[in-house]
Amino acid sequence: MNRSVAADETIESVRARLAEAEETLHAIRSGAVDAVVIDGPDGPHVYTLKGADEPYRILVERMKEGAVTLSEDGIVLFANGRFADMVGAPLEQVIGGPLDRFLPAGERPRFAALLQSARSASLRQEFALQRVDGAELACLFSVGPLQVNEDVLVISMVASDLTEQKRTEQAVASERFLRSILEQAAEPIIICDAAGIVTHASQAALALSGGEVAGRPLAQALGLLSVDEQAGKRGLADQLRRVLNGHVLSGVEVRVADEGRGRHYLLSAGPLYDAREQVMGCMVMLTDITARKRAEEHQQVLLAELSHRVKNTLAGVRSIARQTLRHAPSVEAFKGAFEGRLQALAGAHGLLTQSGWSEAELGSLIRQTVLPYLEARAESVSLSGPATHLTPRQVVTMTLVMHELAVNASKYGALSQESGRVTIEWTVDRQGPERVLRLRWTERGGPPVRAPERTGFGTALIERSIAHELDGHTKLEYGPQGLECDLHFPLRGAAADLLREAETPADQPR
Amino acid sequence: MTSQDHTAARHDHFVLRLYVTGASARSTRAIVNLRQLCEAHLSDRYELEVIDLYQRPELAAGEQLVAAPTLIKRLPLPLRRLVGDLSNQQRVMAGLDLPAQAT
Repeated sequence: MNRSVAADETIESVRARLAEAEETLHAIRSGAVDAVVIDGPDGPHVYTLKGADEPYRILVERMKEGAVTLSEDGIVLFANGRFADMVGAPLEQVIGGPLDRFLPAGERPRFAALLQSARSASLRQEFALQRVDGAELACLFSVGPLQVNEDVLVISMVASDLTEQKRTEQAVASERFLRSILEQAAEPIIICDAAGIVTHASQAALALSGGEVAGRPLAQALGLLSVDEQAGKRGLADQLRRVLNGHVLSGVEVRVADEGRGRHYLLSAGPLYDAREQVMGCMVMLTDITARKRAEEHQQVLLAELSHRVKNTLAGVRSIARQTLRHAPSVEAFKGAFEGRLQALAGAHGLLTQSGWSEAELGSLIRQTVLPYLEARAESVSLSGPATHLTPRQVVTMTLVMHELAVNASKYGALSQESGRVTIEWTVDRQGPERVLRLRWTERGGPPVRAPERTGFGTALIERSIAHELDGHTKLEYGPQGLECDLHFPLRGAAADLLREAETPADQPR
Repeated sequence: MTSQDHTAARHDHFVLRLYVTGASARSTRAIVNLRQLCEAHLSDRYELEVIDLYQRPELAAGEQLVAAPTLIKRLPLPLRRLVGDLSNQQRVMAGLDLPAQAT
């Protein structure tokens, strides 16, 4: 009985202790206690349930870097949430396993060596973490020993994501690349941000605007470049705003004042997009078309001039045709006379074309005009006089006059006989402010001549055209020894200035 | 039942969960000790999840944890709990129902 009673009492006591223990555990589990008291060899220790290390845990959890503690052989003992994010695995799969499974196989020996060194020293090395999804993440690992207690050596590691830094490095490299393009570009190039503020300008753009372009609004910077009113300064500013809204502007002609002398440019502009396809600014490029513009203007002048000359020439030809026809006794006579005159006119044009239609030299003119009538007797004509440059108008008139004199001489005068000679002499005299050309045509050794009873077109041309066209004078004398023709006219126009002061004797015709 | 079928089919496969508290010394020792033991006796036939109670308290729900570190053997059944830094290998082996002679 007593044993039974004692056993019952023992069971009751154990039950009570069990109930107490369960109650205590329940209190702890359900958060009803603030601290736990635990007996240690040197007395009881109080463990508060929210420890003094909580702020540090929070700090570690919130830091931007991955924080890890590792055993000596590289097993992850602790990792913060950021590190789990960096490798893309849930935390419970990170802790307790080797860290190097998040490294490319080729990098594992280097990591092992780093851990080995980290037992006694703090080190830093770059690694690429291999995420669970296969992507790589550039990181800087900072490792070092962490003595938690006497018996366990723990290695601490902080992994800094270098993606941002790499991106910054890339941006810096891109910036440098862009700058080198801008520095070497021959064309003025301006780059603006999304607000239209100039951020970059090529050397050529700086030279054009006289500097001080960066930091200014685009419209103002282009104002500095003095865009021509004709392109519409305001209209252009509006168009550039449209570029910042994503439109492309191409080939707008503008004029930029350049020390008073206008330079012409073609302005092209286009939006610049960032990685998210947002307009981050625009690029404006100016292409110098000044030379092309000048060439176009020159071409216009030439075309107008050509048109003028063609009209004049046609008027001249028509006049010659009409006059020749009026005086011609027969169709055959008309044909010969008209062709000869046309030929002479063509010769004058040929001479002028050689000089770009600016001038021709008198000696060359006479030789070219008279030569066809000399046949094999070149020595029957002699020329002497200074090199004299004539204007196109003087060239045409003198050619026609020389032609008529030569035709008459070959038909009726000195050149109609073998013994005949023609001497052509000229001088250039100063008469007040002007230079005057005096030319004498002398025929000798031919048959006696007398003035024609009826003045033909040729004679009329000789007598009148110098006066009419060149403000000069002509005198014809028919003597028994032969014809003498004196003419003079002022050497006006640009060509007169080209008169060579160092007079050279004219060559004899061949 | 499915879990029993699973258990029967994989009676030698261990599913372990170790609950730790941050980088404390005992937690650290528990991880190191358990890894060594598993690699030595259970290589290729164990799954281990280490859960930091500070970081993932929600994963402790229903586990009736009183202290940390705590190792829970979920499989093979029966479920067993071991509290402490797992430095006594004999006790851990017994707790995991591993034959002592295997040490």
